[in-house]
Amino acid sequence: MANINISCIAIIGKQNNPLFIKNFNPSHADLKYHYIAHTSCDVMEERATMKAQDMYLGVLFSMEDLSVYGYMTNTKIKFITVLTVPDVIIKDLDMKNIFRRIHAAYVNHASNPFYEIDSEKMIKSKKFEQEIEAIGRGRALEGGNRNSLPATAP
Amino acid sequence: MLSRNNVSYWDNTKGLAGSLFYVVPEQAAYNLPPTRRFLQQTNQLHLAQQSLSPTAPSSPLYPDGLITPLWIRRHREQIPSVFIAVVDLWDRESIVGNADNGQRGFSDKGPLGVVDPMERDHDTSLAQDLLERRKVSQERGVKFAAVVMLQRSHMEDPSIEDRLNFVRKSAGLDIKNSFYVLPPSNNQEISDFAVNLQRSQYEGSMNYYKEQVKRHKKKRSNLPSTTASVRPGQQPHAGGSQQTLSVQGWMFRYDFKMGMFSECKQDIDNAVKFYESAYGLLIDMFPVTSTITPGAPGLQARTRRWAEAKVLADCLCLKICKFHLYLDAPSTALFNFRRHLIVFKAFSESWKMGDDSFEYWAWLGKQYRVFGDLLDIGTKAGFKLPIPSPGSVVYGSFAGMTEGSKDLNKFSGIGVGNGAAGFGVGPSGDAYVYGGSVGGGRGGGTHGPGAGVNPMLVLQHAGYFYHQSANCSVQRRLRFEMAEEAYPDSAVAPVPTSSRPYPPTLQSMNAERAIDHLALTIELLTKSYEQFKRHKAGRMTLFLASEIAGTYYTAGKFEMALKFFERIGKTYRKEGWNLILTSILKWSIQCAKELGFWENVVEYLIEMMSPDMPATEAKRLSVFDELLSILHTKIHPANTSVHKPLVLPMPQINSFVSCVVQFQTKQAFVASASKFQLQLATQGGQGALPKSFRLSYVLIEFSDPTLNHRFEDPRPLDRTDVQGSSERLSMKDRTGRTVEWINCDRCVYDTENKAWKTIVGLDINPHSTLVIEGALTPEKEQIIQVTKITLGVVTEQWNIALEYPTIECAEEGDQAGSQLNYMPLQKNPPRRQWLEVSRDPEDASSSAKLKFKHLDKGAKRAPLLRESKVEIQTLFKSPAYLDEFFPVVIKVRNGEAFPVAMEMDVELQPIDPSIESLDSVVLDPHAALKSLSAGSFQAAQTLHGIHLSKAGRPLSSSSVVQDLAVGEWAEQTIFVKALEIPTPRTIVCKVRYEVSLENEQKKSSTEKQHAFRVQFIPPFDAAVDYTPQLVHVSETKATQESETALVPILQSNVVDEKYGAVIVPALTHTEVYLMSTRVNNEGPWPVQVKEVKLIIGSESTTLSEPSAGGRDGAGGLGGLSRSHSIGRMRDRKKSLQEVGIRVELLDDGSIGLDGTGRFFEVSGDSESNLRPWRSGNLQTFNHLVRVIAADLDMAPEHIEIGYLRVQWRRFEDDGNATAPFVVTNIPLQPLELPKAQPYMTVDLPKDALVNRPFTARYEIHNPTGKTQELAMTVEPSEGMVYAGVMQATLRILPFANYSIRMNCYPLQAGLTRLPRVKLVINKRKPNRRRGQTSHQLQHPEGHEEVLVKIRGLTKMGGPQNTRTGPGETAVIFVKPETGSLE
Repeated sequence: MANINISCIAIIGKQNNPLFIKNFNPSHADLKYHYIAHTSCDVMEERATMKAQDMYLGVLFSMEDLSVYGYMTNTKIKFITVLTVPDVIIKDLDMKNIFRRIHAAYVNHASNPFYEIDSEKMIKSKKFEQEIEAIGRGRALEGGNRNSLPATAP
Repeated sequence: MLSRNNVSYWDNTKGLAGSLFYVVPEQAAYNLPPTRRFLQQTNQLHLAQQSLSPTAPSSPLYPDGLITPLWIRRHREQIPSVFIAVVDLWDRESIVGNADNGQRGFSDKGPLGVVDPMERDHDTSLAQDLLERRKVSQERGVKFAAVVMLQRSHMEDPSIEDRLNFVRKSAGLDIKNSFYVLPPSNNQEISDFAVNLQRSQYEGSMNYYKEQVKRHKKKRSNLPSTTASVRPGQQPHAGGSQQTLSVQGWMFRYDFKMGMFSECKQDIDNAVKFYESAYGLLIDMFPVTSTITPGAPGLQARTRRWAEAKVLADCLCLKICKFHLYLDAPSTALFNFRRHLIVFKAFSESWKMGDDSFEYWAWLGKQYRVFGDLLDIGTKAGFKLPIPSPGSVVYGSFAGMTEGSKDLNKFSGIGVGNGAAGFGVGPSGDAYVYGGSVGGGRGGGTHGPGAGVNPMLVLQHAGYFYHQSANCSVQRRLRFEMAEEAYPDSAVAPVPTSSRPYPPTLQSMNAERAIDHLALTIELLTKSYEQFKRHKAGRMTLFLASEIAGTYYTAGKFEMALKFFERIGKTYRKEGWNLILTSILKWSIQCAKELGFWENVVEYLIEMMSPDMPATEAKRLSVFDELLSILHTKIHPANTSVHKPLVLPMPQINSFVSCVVQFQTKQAFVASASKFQLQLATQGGQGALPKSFRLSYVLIEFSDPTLNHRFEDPRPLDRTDVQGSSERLSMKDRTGRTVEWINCDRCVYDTENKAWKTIVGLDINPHSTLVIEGALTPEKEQIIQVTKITLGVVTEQWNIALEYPTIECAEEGDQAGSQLNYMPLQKNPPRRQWLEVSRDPEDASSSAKLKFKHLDKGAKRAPLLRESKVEIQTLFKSPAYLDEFFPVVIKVRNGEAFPVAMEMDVELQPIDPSIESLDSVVLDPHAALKSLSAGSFQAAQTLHGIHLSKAGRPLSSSSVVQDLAVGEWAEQTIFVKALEIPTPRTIVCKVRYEVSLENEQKKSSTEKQHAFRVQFIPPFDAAVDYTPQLVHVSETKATQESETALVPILQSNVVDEKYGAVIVPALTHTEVYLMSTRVNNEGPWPVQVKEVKLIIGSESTTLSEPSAGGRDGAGGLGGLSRSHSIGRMRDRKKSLQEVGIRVELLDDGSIGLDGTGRFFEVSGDSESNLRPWRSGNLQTFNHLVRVIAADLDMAPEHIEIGYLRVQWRRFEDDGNATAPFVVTNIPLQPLELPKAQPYMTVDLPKDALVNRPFTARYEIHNPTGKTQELAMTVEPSEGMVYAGVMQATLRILPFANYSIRMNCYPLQAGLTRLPRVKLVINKRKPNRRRGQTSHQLQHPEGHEEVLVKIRGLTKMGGPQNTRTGPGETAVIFVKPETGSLE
């Protein structure tokens, strides 16, 4: 987990519309991550048709020093995590944990009766942002899998 | 044979199956290059081919070169592994012009030993030649083989065998695998021969390369150790030209050569090993000091050898990657590639050619591109890219890991040195520890639970590498531009400065100047684009397209760039990627500005104003200002000419203002004003629109163009005074949004614009909603829809129209949505809202309240109808009875402003449209009744064209239409007759009339509908009890009547004329029943009953049909529940007749009760004097009927006796009943006829006394035509003592009776049971099969027990059910002894 350096977390709706994109890495512009998130839609859809049983889709592609990981829920909401990787092995288990936390955060958010699930609008929620922020910075938040997190936040 | 030489760069085939040899054809004169040893021996060194060894001064490698491509070419093209000489055998016929041609000197007379000397000469020289070649080949270790081609003439020559043997032996060639004879043959045979030849020579070839590898291995092992001796002589000459190749260099040479030979041997595994070793050695030469040869200095940067070594390293790396791909280890290949890049990045920095120099980026770009090419070629040749899916065992999991660690061990284990330290870059401090980072991460195998994958080592398709390369190209251009800025002169060499201590060389600068970087970038991006397209990554191609467009922009090709931007913008817009879209728009604006496409600029700026486009407030303001300045500034560069009108379909772009129109009501009426509202709301929250935006006009277009509305604001931009006379109200809602309401319902028709026009201020203020309320007055009936709303901005140069076509919500049956590509957010139509202005009626000056009210969901359309001002009322007394002519009074009032003639249609809607209705509506019940009795009545559910006239006036049947005066009521009574089904009926009356509008010639017809429901219930309910009457009743009756009382047998057969049947009195079975019918008035209304009559089913036809004409009111069809009972009765009657059953009415209802008398108190014609039968009244009628069955066996279980015919009418309390009497037939429950089986009757005294014996007589009847055998048992009773037979078997003949007398002695008083007489019919069954003994055991006698029932018993419970169930016992009332006074 310590070697995972999240640069961006993106959530994409089922119409391939962006729902949430958070940049954790100031070295790239937001635009870059928007592009990356957008381009990964195709890869995810292709991946998802190949194997439908798992929501975690693994590494989608790498571009320059960024690796893009994907996760697609059963309702076709896509989660994307972009990592800035040193040349190390990223354990699937770690990535799955991250995605599960994102998924949990999203489910929490979507459970809000005032949130229109099909509104195709960007998610604007302080709580949700905090949760994603915590995931992106590698901090534990309530409900997170503490075991997979380092004792001290990097 | 040569066709197999077309070996592509990608050739991943192994062994015999693949292309076996690289075949180099040579002239016959070709000789192998002599070996060095041979030359030394013969002192012919000067003749030697140019030596490629660094030791030779003539070599290009002298003195310290590593290896040259020449060497590879030599081994590829000059030195074979197998040398095959193809020679012709001399033939006499080839001597042209020889007269003796065809004649051999000695002919072939001598079979043995005689040889033609001429042939021998030639053969000897041939053999000699072959021998020499063989020797030369042998010296090199090359396998030699000869192919002798024969001519056709040889085939007939018997000496040919000897000649060939001679040649072979003389040349010292082995018969096996070295000497071949090719007879003349066709192409197919030749190619087969070639393949076989290659097969047979394959081993020799392998051996050759094996030997070569072995030889070089030996040479390598003979080298002195690198660590042991750093030759002292080298140090002073460091960097000098006299420096000879180091031991490490030699090691590299040998490793490389071994790799090359292994590759030739098609031994990919070993080739990789050798190449990797060579690569390691080579890499080690680049640092400042080598680790393998401690202390040895590395290659000097920017020298010739250094450049060569760099290229060599690149090539070697690529070769290694390729072989790994051959071996299907894509991750390892990628690993090697990336390692190469990382290592050289570190080196480049130490050479001061780091990532700030264009040289580095040029190099890096080339690496990516070449690797991409490799992958591209590979995938085209069938290489499969790995799919990095989580959890897959093959890749990315444990297996992948071990593969990774394995190849690292391989790498570090071949003597590169201590793998942990890896390659040091030198003392400069920027040491790059390769082994530590990569090796540790991978080789360490930190694979904990679950699998993992290094994303950097997931091989992707070539598109990514091309893209990477393009990125490098961009970087390269940037660096180069910087460099050129610093050193602009192409003739002067760059001089190091303090800020740039290591400038690029003049040569490289000039070389770089010749390169079109942008074209290169575009080429690479396009290549990448194609790759992604091939891999169906559509969105990635968009990304690349945006990069291409960006490059075009940089290159100054704005038009191309704009084209690209426009194309890709659509997808991003559709999918809501607004940040990207904003970026694209920004670029597009730049491009359009450069091109002077100001229309486009305006379009993009308008879209940029949308709050969906993320931007800072300052940016928003600048966009807004720019737009305004373009639109309104005359001196702006954009406004040199008047622009063409610009029409922007707003649903296709992101809009800053939303636009909704709706009508207040769903329906509107002709010639009356109907209100509509246009809501212009700014999108987004506060600050989305920085300033007020002024529209020049708003045009609302309706489906009827004569109703178009146009609101105009002619003010110039700088004037802000209130415009127009329209009433304005404004307020702030809870969210701080300003809501402004303008009343514009007073528009003037403007013939110029062909629209209703008014002047009004049209400023769209930040964070506000502008509501314009208008009204339209349509003049003809139609459906009105808003087709389009146009917001216009008109200035001197510009005429911009923002169009909002109204979106059809998909309603049932509507035309499908338009083909336009709408923005996703506008797919759901917003909730319809109406801004309601509520004013305090008392205080007109106080500000009115504005409030949004939700309207029902509905289309934005108003179907227009003429409003009818007619009132319709109905009067009736619900519920109505079935069968009666139910009066309904319909009153219609003329509410119009002028008298009209009205017509009314009345329709009785069927209950179930699939069934023909029998209900009818009539105007005159008496007439209807007459026609009914005459049989000419047609049940009509509709009444058409009733002319309405003033109430109270007599109904005029004439066709003269009378106008109904204004405000007058017309009245019309209709009569509804409903049959059978007691459900509510819906009656619809439509009032039609025509009005002429003042401005129209044509009269417009108007209609008003009124529907109401009437509940219908049956008037009467009847329940019948059938009480069987004992024989004596019939006997007495019979004696009175006729001689039928005689013993039946003595009677003669009677032909019943009525039914046409012969009745055999002896066989007929007669039963008499008392029918007790209770008739109840169910409904709430009193009725008058004129007559109640039992119509016996068998009489019904005879009675009803002839009488229908004659008797008034008793018509057969008149209230009959036709399908329900008549139909059934007819069927039944028919069948009754068939089975010979007759039902006769013996005595009418006057029996017992004088029912008729009560109704006809005052007998006579005065029907109105009939006593009303009030609600809930119950009346009982008794009838005695006789049922005569010719054969009881055939009789059905139920017999329809008939129905009660009631003639009645509704009783009006005021006494003036106008309704005629109607007939209702009340169906009666069917009579259950006893089955044709034995039964008992009991004859008991009226009562008994305790302790006084009495006699009970049981009569057992056998009405069947068979002899019955009965088993009788008597069960004792508690209250009675019986003396007599307890068990007996009886046999009763057909139609015979048997009586049993029982003398009983009552013991107790009260209702007491008699001893039960149980009779069981023994029905003998035909013998069963004998096999079924077990079955027979259960029924040893084989009889079926059928209890004989007792009829006409008085039960214990009471008199309700006189028929007794099985097992019932007769009871008798026993009086106490003392109770008797006698």
